[in-house]
Amino acid sequence: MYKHGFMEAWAIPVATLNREAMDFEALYESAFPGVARFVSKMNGSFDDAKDIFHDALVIFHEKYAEERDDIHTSPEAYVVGIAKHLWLKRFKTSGRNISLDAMEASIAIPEDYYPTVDTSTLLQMLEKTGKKCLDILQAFYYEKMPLQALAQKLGFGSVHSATVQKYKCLEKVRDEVKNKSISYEDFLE
Amino acid sequence: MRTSLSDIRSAEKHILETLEPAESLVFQARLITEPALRWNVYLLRKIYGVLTLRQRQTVKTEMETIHKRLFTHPAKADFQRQILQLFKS
Repeated sequence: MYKHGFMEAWAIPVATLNREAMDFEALYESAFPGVARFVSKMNGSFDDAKDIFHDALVIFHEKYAEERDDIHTSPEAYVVGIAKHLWLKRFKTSGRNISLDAMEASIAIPEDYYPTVDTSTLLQMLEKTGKKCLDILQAFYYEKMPLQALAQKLGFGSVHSATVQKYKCLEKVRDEVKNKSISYEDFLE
Repeated sequence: MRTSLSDIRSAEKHILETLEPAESLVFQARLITEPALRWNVYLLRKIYGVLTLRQRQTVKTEMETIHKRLFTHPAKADFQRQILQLFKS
């Protein structure tokens, strides 16, 4: 497992070679009622509940992949805990208005979860010019399959060829960023 | 593998902290003396950030599809009622 993960700003994608596919639909059905009850209690709307819940599921998915052994509660309870933190962040609500038990208080939301403007801008730009490479890189870092199967899926004859293509894509995407003549200062946040 | 790709591979391993100790020392020394390499490592980290954002958007699109299915399928009427009644004013 990689040492760095989503928890950090400048996160590197987590390798998912052994990640099990998550049954999102089942989790959706079992966990949404708890989040909806919480949001309703906070006088939020159905759309608020949906938005917070989707973000909570994304974060849970990442945490489950990275720190599965550190999660000592049900997925439903954990998702509600994440949702409470997201509510606090989103509405700048005082923590005094929301009770967090010990498990919930221990949950940390990834620092980079709310993307900076430049990351979003960069993604929009690269979607136009380097989509194919982004697809390959995303598959490489996130597909839930062994490297050999991934190489075949991407149409490469061997893991080595696929790996070389990954580095070529990183180079291509990097050079596209450079070619946009974005100055170093533009990236500083 | 050509040098530029080899540098990207080393940069990735540097970020992941998976370089062998000796390789790591050499790479860190190069970072001090080669501004271009430093800049490339910086950009690589930015690209990883972009990929993370893209993956999150992919998962959220999947969530949206599930949401639509659960809130329109007749077989899920009980689930729909259970949620919607919480937001009746």
